[in-house]
Amino acid sequence: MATNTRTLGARRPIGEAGWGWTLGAGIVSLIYFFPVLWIILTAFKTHNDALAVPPVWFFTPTLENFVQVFSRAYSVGSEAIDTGFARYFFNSVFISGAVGPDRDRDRHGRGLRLLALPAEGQRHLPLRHPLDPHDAGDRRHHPDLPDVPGHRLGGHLRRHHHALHGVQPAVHDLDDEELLRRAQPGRRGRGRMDGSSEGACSSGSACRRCWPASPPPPCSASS
Amino acid sequence: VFFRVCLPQVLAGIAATAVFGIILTWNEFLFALLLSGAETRTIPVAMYQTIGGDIGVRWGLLAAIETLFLVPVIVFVFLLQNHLLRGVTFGTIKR
Repeated sequence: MATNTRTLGARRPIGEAGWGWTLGAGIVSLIYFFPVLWIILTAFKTHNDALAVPPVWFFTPTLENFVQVFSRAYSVGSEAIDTGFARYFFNSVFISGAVGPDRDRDRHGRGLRLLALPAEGQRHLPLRHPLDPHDAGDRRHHPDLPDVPGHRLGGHLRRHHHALHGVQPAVHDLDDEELLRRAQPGRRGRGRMDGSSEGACSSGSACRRCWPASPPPPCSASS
Repeated sequence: VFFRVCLPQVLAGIAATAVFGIILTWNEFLFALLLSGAETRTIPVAMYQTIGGDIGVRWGLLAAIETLFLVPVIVFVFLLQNHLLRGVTFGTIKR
């Protein structure tokens, strides 16, 4: 019971891990972070303090370097001019965010198309029913899982359970009527990934042949 | 169906992929050096061109650029850290 109610992402208090482990992790973290810390400290030093040997640990912080990032003189005695850093910064943000509009496919950028790729994949997945005999089992009453809706982001255990049984769209939280209503427009038989169909209903609506274990809705085709 | 069912399921993976992709392109240097011009220069290239001058390497200036360069990635990772952890560790924990 305790393992079911405890979420995987929950943080344990320090005392539970032990002070030794906590101290060790802190020391290792400090060693890893030290170069970054040194860079940040150097950014607030003057030129002489940055080059001082032995290194200066206690100094008067200055923002001179940050001012020179945006505007500085390129030779001794000349006037300070704009360095163009803001433009370079924008260029980096732009490159990281999106490449540009892909007008052949749609009006979204390629970066947005990258985000849309999982949706493209979902369209080719078979839509399964929790009571379907071809399915791996009824997930709604699995004894080891808490009754948490799978579409909630906190449902670690349920999605882990999906990973063990293959990719499963979270249709098990919907009732039969809603499932059928949503499945009808794009449904072709059993919706295999290779595009073929198995026992497709020629009328285009879901009937007993399409949904063997669900309550049969009215079917217009004679089957 | 996509926004209520599919998207929440893949959100952790999308977040992890986005973080790794952005970090990769944010640090990219070689292509930016070879292909960019004066108007299309990125920060790593500008940082490289800061090195040198009449008084040697200006370590303070370089460190200041580096500090500013770190801020967006750190903010982005902190915003997505919950999704990132779930995306990276997804499928690796067996009860």
